[in-house]
Amino acid sequence: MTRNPRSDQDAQDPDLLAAEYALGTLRGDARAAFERDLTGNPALRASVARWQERLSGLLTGVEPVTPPTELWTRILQTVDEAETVTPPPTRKLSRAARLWNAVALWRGLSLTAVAAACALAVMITRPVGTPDPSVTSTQQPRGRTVIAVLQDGGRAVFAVQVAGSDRGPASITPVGGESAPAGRSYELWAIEGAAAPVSLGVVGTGVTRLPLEHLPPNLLRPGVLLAISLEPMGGSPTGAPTGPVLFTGTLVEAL
Amino acid sequence: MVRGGPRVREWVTAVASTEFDTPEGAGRASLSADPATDDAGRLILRCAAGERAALHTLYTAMAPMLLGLAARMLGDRRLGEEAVQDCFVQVWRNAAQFDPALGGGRSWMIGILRFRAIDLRESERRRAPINPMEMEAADQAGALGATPPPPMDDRMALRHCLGQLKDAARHSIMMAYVEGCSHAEIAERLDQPLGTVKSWILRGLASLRECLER
Repeated sequence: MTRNPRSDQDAQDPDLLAAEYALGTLRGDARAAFERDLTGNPALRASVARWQERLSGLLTGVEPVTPPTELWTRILQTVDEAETVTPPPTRKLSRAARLWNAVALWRGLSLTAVAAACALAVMITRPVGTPDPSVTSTQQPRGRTVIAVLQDGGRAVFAVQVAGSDRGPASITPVGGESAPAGRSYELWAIEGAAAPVSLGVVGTGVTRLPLEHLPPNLLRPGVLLAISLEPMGGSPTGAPTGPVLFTGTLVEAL
Repeated sequence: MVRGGPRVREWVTAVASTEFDTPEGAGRASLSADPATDDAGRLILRCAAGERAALHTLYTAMAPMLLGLAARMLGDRRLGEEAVQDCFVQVWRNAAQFDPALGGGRSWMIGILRFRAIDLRESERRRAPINPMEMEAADQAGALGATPPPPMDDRMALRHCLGQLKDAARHSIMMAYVEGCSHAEIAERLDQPLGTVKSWILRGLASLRECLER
């Protein structure tokens, strides 16, 4: 194809990037990078919303399909299951939580993460040395092992396991060969529903173990979102995330 | 799999049942997409306050349209149902993040459904069979009365502006939006170089914007 200045200009236009995102043609790394930009960029979120509104007019030719009655039952069941561990959503959100949850919102990552977590569950169970997950899960109903795979646009980067008990420690196993740039640190956060992110600590190189005794009981349980942000060396100076969210994943119960 | 067991069993049960009942009120209900009376948006705000009945009303009004789209994108009704299920669960969980100032509730939900369907599509590696007849039908934006449609003015404007695009750009955009195709899939289907298709879509979107903002 021939390149012309207009095409190059279009390719750089953030609003057209938002259009491609809303259209669904932004994939893989490009989509992940765009979603990272979205979290801290209200103007870009507005662009995406505007394009979603515009493009929704393309659906007028799609024939509706009547869902089977059990579909609603399944939705209700899933919502009910979630609510036994998570309080209902509320509109009172800290600014940080709002931005952060936007990641989950745009990507729909929790369900993707479940599948990835399943695939990696066996792999990470050994290195972190849980004596026997099947025993802990059947005999200690309140202290089940939970795991999460933190991803960057579908690429698994860190596996997190909270073994046996939610009192920790949490093991963070790098699976993607990713490490923080020089002079910066990765910090791990737990985001429970609408609450402000809670720091779990700074992620070192190699397998990191983070003590969790200081955390509120029952914080790390299925459905809670984990996220890693890029922070100044040694972690966020404010106690709240200050840098971009790089990797996210939702905790699920291990097999 | 953590959630695979029960879900697979549900699928098997569902596949065994050939009857698809109409949920109460489905097909009759319709939500306005007019920003001034954004019914879907208001219902989402009520979901954010924990009101289950609001989720059910949204489901009744939107699920048939969302399932039609998801089944089309995934080329598979069962997978479409999974996408719709995940969509409504996400709507419930993320209702507090819906910002009515940014746009309508209907397009917000369609966005959630489409991303979920695209992710499922990529993980399933299934291809929705392309049907030229359907593409033609979809091309005539506004010709068919799906529930719930955007305001008439917007539909007319979009139809007009789509009509201004070159066929190649319009087809590519429709394939991406309605079928959930990637650049590479569109290039493959139209037997065109990838760069050409990318350029058609980018220029097409730019022209669409120019036309709609005129």
